[in-house]
Amino acid sequence: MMTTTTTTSRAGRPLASTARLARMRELVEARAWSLVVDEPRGLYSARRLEWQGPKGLRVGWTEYHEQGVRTLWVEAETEAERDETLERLCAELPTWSAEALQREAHSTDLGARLTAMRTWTVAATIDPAFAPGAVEALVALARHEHPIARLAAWNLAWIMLSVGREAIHALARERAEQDTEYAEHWQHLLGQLEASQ
Amino acid sequence: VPTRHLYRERLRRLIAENVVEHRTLDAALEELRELVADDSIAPYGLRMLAAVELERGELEAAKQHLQQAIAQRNDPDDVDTWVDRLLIAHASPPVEALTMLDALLEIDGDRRAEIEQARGDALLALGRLDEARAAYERCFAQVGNELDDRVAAQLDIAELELTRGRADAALAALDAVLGDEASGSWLDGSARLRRALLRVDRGEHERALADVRAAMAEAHDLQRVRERFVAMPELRELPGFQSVIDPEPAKAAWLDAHPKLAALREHAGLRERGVRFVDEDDAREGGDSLREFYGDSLHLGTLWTDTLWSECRRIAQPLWLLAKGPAIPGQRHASELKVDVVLYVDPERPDTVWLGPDDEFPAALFTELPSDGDAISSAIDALYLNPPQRVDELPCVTRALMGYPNQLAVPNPYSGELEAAGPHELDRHFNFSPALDPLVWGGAYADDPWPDVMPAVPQVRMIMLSRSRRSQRRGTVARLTRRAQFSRAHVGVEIHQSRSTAIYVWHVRHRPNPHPATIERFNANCGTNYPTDLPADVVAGVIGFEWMSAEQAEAALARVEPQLVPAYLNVIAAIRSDDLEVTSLLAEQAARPDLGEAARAAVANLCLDYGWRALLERLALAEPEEELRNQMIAALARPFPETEFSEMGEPVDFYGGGGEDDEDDYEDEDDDDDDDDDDE
Repeated sequence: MMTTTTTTSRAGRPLASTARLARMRELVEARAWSLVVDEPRGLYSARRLEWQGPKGLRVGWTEYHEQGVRTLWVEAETEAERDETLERLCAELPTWSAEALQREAHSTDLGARLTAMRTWTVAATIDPAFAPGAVEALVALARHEHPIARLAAWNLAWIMLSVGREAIHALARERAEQDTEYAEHWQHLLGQLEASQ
Repeated sequence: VPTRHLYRERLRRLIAENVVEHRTLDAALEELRELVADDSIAPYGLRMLAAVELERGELEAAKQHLQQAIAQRNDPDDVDTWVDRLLIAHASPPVEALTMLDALLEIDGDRRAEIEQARGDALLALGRLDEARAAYERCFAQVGNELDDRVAAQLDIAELELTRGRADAALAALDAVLGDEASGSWLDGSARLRRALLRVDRGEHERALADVRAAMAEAHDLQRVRERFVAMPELRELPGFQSVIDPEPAKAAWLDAHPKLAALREHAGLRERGVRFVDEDDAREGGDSLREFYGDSLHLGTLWTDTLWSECRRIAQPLWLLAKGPAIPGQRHASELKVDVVLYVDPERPDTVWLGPDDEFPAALFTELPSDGDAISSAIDALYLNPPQRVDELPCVTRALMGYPNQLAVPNPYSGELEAAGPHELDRHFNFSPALDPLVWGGAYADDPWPDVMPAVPQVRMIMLSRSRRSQRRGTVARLTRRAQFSRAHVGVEIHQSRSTAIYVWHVRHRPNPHPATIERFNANCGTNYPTDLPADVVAGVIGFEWMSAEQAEAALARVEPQLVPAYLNVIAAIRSDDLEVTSLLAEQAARPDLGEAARAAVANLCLDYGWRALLERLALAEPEEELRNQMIAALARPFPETEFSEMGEPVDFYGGGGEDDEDDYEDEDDDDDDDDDDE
């Protein structure tokens, strides 16, 4: 596979579940970008597609099957170029805004809340702009009364480590003491965190 | 004169093995040197590296690696130590080599032929010709009945005698193994070439031409033998040589009655591509032979459906052979096996011709073309002469259901009886395919790891390599891929849902077929529905198995009985397992009020198979039945089970099956009742 150097960090967006890969392929074809990465998914690893455009432009579509989340990201030579490309693509593909994620991640509808929380967690790991508030929302989910919510929080806590390690450490310690049903799960996470310190 | 020699053969095989393992010697050198740099190379790797260094003429480096291998083994009696010492002798100046080889003779008399040959080489290099001849004769006496080794030993003697200008003795050495008949050795061509040159020197031109003629007739690879003979000026100048090496092209006068076909015969583009038109007798005979091929008995390597067989017969029925060539690579067994492209024509309909990669390729998938030289040349180029070299030159991915292993059957090549199509049986079936290649690779490889031309490597080593090439990527489904012989498409068979009822899925990476009309015609006449951009050799390989696309399975969902829906969902999930959008479809189906608990349990099981945790959460939240809901929550609290693979690259539970005993599986109400009974 070809590699390029870029001068910007990556900027990304979480895509709505209605965003279609077929539409993305049409957009890519119209711009004559070339496919440079087509990595199949694994049980826990994401499916990754990456295209290369002119002047170091690189665009990725990632499908996190475990989380049910799709993201789009862009790298370019300049931030202006990167942001412009991202905006143009997002105008054609339904995306989540940071506001919508925050709102839904605190929804009383647990299904909607879990979808938003999974999306927000993944988004926070690919673009720091999505990080504010994500860990707090996860902490709230971990204290939910429904076991499915608490299991989801435990699963997402592993991913959220790269966003707020200390806060997750504190959460794991708290849940290991207070969540009698899943104390072992949180203890496992806690053990891993303490072993790696 | 390149020959196969005993101990030089050992080196050649090491080189071949390097090519098989790394595709090129440069790649081998790079990887093996990296291992040396990391200090993580084993003695066998050092020997492989030494072989590459020897091939490059880096003798000191080669010796160093071999000495390191010997030091690592630290066992002077080990047979591998003996081999490494022999190779060090090969890399050493003759005096030094001779001393080493004499010492080896004392240690290991069992391998005397190999050592004597090496001694002969060293003595020859030192100019001690009588001693060299004696060493080669001892070698010949030791080789037994092994044809190639016998010819190789006599070639050594012939070369030595030529060195000292004794042509009679050289000729006698070659006569001893060649006689007037072919011995059957792969080295006959080399021996005949040498003898032809000797006969030219003696003015025996007719006898020299007889050797050329025999070598051409016996050639495994006619083109290569031809090139070697043509490269010899002494032979080229022989009167009559040209007519032996390039027999007069057939006049194909019968084509004069068909102006369009006569124009093809004169077409420069076709001639340049090696297309050879045939005379009327051969044309009739070629047509008869094609019809006989579709006579009474089916041929291995293709699943002959009735419609395929009838369609082949229908197409073959009026055809005459029009032309043959160019020669193109066929199956990748050891050595470069080539097949002839074929052109057929119906003399009653000379406006079109039929193009195929080989006369054993199903005629139903021949490409019909206008009788136009440019069009045929373009088709030959596009279909056979410019195959893709890398996976990223295969832009299309086509997936479909291949079927259930317990319902598919392939003929046993030894008995002809149908047997269940397990992965091993599929391998045997495709070994005989006129369309797919026998070499297989697993999902751990993004691209075909085998070299384009397979050199001969020892069988035991080949078995080990074949196994390692079947390895899979952790956390993925098992995929075993082989390439299509002519389009070089990658035809993968995936094994899904092996914990319960396994499903095979086709995963084909390919270039779009430049002649989609071929597949359109095939579909129309055989009642199949293959995508028309699939290459014809892919269709020839997959015909007879199931072919159901995800779209077809999805369309069926709306019309099948509710109890069949779970089976269709399994198929759709398997075909679209790499596509996250399928989870929306599964969620919708699980929510269908008419389907009931069994369908919801089936979707939950798919979540476990494919790691769709978010979907399983949604199902659990919506699940009205407490027991099933609790099973789902319990599964969410555990890591999802990862497929383990055997050394053959197959899921370890494939042969065990029995998903009903798996604690991770969900069961519908009826099953639960059965379990309760069992518990009681």
